[in-house]
Amino acid sequence: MITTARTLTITWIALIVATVAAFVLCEMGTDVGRWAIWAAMLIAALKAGVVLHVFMELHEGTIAWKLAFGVWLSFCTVLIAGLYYFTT
Amino acid sequence: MQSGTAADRASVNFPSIWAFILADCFSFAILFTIVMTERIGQSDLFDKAARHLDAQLGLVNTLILITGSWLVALAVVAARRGDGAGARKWLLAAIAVSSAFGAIKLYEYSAKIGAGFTPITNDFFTYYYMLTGLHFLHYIGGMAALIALVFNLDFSKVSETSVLRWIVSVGIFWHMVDLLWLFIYPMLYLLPLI
Repeated sequence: MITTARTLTITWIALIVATVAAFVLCEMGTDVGRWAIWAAMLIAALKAGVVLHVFMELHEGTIAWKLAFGVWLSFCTVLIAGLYYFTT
Repeated sequence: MQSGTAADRASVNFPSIWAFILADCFSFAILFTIVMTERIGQSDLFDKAARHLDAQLGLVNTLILITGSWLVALAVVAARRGDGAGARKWLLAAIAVSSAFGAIKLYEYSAKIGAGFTPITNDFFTYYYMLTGLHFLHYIGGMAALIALVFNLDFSKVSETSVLRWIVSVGIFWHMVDLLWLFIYPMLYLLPLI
């Protein structure tokens, strides 16, 4: 599957919306509850996944590269969200 | 004009750039681990210190990096079509937009240092300068590579695999700068607000 300019632009808009959504969520502060830590990091992980697959075209890579970056992405997400959630 | 999907796909299927990117990403994962484990036991200090950061500036910088990545990706698509002039135009746009990230980051550093928040203020600011500083070095490297591409690459030969690979490789590196920031931003700026 070849990436098209249209796909890239739709992806860019989605990334912008997700970024602003995470900012608004976190700006609400403690009012929203601690679940927002996981929500914000889930948004970050989804954005990172989209950048990897669409912009970096990891979808064209081998299963080994996809697996390696999947491990990296999951590790960073769980590490940051988990340690914030359990140590704040 | 570039034709055929085989050449297109071949342009991202070379392991050297992916190995480099993966190694860099895991190096940052180690740094994330160090910062997050150092935060254990002094979460109050970290969260209070983090509230001195400007999350809105961080938001603007995130939007700039995402937009810069999009423009670089458009340059790759144009290059694959054999549109060298278009690829160069998108790369120039990416450089112009992304330069704002550097300006804002330098402003942010000067504002923080001016307010007395230096790398030796406390552990949070030590790690803040370390993480964002290393990321900033990657940003400078990426910007230098983009500028070198625009002024040194022969865009009239963009259909040649070697030329296309240069654009794709620099593009992948530039996206990594964006990718790393997508974790640094919530970790340092956003989550302490919750």
